[in-house]
Amino acid sequence: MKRFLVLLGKELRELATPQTILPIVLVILAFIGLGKVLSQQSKVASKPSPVLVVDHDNTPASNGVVKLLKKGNLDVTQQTADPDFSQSISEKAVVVIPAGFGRDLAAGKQTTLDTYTVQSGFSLAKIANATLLTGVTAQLNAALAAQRIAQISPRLDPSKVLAPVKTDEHIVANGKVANISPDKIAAYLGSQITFVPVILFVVIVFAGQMVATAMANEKENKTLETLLSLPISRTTIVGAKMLAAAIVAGLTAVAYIYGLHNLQSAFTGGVAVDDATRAAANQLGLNLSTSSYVMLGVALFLGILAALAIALVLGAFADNIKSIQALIMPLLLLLLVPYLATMATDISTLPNWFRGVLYVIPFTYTFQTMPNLYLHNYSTVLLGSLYELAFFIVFMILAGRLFASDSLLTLRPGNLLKRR
Amino acid sequence: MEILTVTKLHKRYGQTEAVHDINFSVSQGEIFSLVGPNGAGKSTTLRMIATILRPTAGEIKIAGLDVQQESGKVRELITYLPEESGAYKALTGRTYLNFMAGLYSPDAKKRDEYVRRAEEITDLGDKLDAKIGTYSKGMTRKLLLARAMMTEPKLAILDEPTSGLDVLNSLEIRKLVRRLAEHGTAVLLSSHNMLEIEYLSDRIGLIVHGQLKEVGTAEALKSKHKARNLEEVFLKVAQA
Repeated sequence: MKRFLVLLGKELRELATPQTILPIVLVILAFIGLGKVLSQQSKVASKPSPVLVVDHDNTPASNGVVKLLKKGNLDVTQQTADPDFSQSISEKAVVVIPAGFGRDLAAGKQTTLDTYTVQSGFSLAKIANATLLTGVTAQLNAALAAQRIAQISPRLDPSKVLAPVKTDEHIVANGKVANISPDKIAAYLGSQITFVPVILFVVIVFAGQMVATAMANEKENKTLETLLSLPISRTTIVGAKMLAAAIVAGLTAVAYIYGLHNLQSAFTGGVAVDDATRAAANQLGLNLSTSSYVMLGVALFLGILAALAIALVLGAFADNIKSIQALIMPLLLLLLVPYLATMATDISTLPNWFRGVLYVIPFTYTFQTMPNLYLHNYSTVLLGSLYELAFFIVFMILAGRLFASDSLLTLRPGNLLKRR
Repeated sequence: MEILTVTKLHKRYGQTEAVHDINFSVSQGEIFSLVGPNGAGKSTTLRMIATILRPTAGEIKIAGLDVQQESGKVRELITYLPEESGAYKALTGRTYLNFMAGLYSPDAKKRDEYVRRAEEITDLGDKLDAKIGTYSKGMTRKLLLARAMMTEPKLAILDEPTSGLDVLNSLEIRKLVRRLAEHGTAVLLSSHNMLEIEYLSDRIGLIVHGQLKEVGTAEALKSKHKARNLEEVFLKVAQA
């Protein structure tokens, strides 16, 4: 045990160098900085958008349009002259009410409002300008239609004519029913369900690269032969390398979680979930108990161990650090395929052969752990964790044999079945 | 007392036989040198003895322990200095020695004794507190040799111990190897440098194409082949 700790200390010293710590610190600082900038941007975005209204009609009807626009989150300024689009204007959109607008409406004719969206860039925020007037136009139509209905038939309730069917939304989950919009529950759980795979992806890639690089370093620095001749078992060497990588990757994960949390808060604007949504989620059992958190922790830990074992085997075939990027590619693929599949598709609807491929990859179970826990599919989570454990054991045996064979020095995969 | 015995040793890489039927032994306090051209099988033989490569056939015993069956115990008794070895550049020389000593002995007193001995051998003084990445080749080689010598092993396996070093550093390292043998360690080394071999070795083994062609003292070999120096002996044996 003491020798293991001595070796672990050396591995940690080798991994936690300024060269590895500095980029992590920079990434976290970048996340925090980006979070602050985005948070300011979302505050700016929540301010009323400037809109110019050119009223050529100047009737009660056109004034009604202006009033309706002002009720929306718009900062309306009015003028009677058409704007000169060859000059830059500060407004994000322009609405032109033509002369005769009020008269045509009164006559029951369909009339036209000219709208202009000022496209001053193509960032997500600028592209969002395109929909600035969409909601207002719909409201305008609804209000004018209601007025018209009231004029034609005062006995009718315009709101019932315009929306004869209203939906009372419910959501069913875990065999329970709650009276709430599915969108709200999806938004409440979505961020948590997507956050874990992102962190996991980053940590696994980082830890995998770290352990593979540690192996390549031993070869490049010509220290491997000496290490193999020292009075320590090959299992101790493998274990110390993996644990050191896991510790550094774990600490990195905590740091990344902090940075990403800042970034995510900026996207959501730090808006707290309303009590009704939280109560509905609890009613549906869409929450994690202490045992669920334990199961989540075990699944994540086993996922990281499986990745480390794969990386260690791959890293054993590296003869220098340059070759690590290419050698680690299979691990990245094993991560990327289930990551995208679980994030973007419903696995149960995928072709059988592809589902088979996904279920062979241990990380599929890791990425599915959060949704499965929310949906109380505990047996699926347990079976997934058992599979990850079996996968890890197989790769550890393979890594142990690799370290005990000539393959580590000869870079040939043969003779792995013979052990020292 | 024989520390190392190698019997009918073979090593095959695919279709290539790197080592063929090699037999020799090294006694306590003896320096035995393997001499041969590049690719003759010297390093492969040393690696098999150092428990790093597995023999295809044959037997290696160190202090009575079978290298394949009891590799863990064997590693307690040996130290190995590979030809192109390096050290962990992020560590200081002193941390490196402490790390290595810690692996050889969990006992703090013993560990300190090893480190003190290594510090004395390296003669690097305050430079031991600098990162190994800043060391010259000679300083690194001395540090590695000190690591290999600090435990006073039963068998020290030194592959080209003075490879790439200047005359002064080489002389110093040869003296250190001599001193190690005088303290009772059996030394098995390989080298291309015939002067070094003649200066250091008690006995010499000539390897050509994976086969041990001759074993004897420098004088006996020169006399047998009627040669003025070891280079001539080597040439005659290699061409025979």
